[in-house]
Amino acid sequence: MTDSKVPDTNNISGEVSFQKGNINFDLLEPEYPSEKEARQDNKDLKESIPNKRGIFDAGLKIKPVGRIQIFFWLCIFAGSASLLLHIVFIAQSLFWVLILPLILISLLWSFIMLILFKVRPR
Amino acid sequence: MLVPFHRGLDWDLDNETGKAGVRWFLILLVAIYLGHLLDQDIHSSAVAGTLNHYYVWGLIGFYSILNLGFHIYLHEKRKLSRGISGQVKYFSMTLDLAMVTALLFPTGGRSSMFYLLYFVVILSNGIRYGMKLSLIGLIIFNCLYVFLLFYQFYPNLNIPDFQTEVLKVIGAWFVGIYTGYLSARFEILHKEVEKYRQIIAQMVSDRKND
Repeated sequence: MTDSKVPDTNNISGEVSFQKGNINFDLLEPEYPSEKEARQDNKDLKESIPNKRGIFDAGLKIKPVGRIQIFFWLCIFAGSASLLLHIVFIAQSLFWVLILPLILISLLWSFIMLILFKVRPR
Repeated sequence: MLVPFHRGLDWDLDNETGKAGVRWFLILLVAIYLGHLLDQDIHSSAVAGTLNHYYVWGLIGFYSILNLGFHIYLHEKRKLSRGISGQVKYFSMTLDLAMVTALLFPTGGRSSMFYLLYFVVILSNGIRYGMKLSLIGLIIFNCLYVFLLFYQFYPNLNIPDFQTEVLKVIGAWFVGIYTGYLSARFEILHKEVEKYRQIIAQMVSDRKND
């Protein structure tokens, strides 16, 4: 077999690749920065942001979440959950139904904040 | 260059036109039902003094005139090929919820079967416009329903089976929030599909140019 009959996978056109089912949309943006430029950019980024890690502190100064903050949100969550249970099982006043949106929103909000704090790398 | 995904100007217009059409159908059904109640003189379940000709036909007439005005407004905007204001959807949703509340009074107050219309309003807006409108609709619903209970049981406010009412309201909240969440997911999928559609269109265009 001669070399000319062997398909050159490196030079295969994007369209042919697409027709074969190899959907790689990177081919639409073929102008990548050179390795040298990419290395330099990465170096600049690392120098400008000390201890950069993951997506959570990209470009921001690191501010660790303290136990006090987590405790604060935990208190809001527990308070909202207690109030909700109170409304469902005990309350007899329309006032509680009127403030139900506030309680549900604070419950949901504190729940989301706690999850964010817990999944955040430290 | 890929065009960023956004809802077209016609998005709100089409939605509001659809809602106005459904509103006519509901007005007709409600008019028939309330007319039947008045004809048979069935006052047993109505909140005191609300099932009478003035209230019923006043409510239906008022809502019909508003919906007619709404139709004309939408028709004019469509004729001029202009989009409608972003505030219109909030206005129409608030109006719908207020009308459902007004409808509950002569049909049994808290035990009215038309309570389900709250769900219809919240679901239809939540699916069309997403979480923000869904939440605003829920807050308005919550306030209006408390007003209904307050009016029905005034002055002693001693509500039997109060916990049932609480669970009904909480149920509506869960349905509304879940609808908003589903709407957000569908919108993400829509964006993805739109992005791929644009990429393929661009590839075809590039090929023709070559």
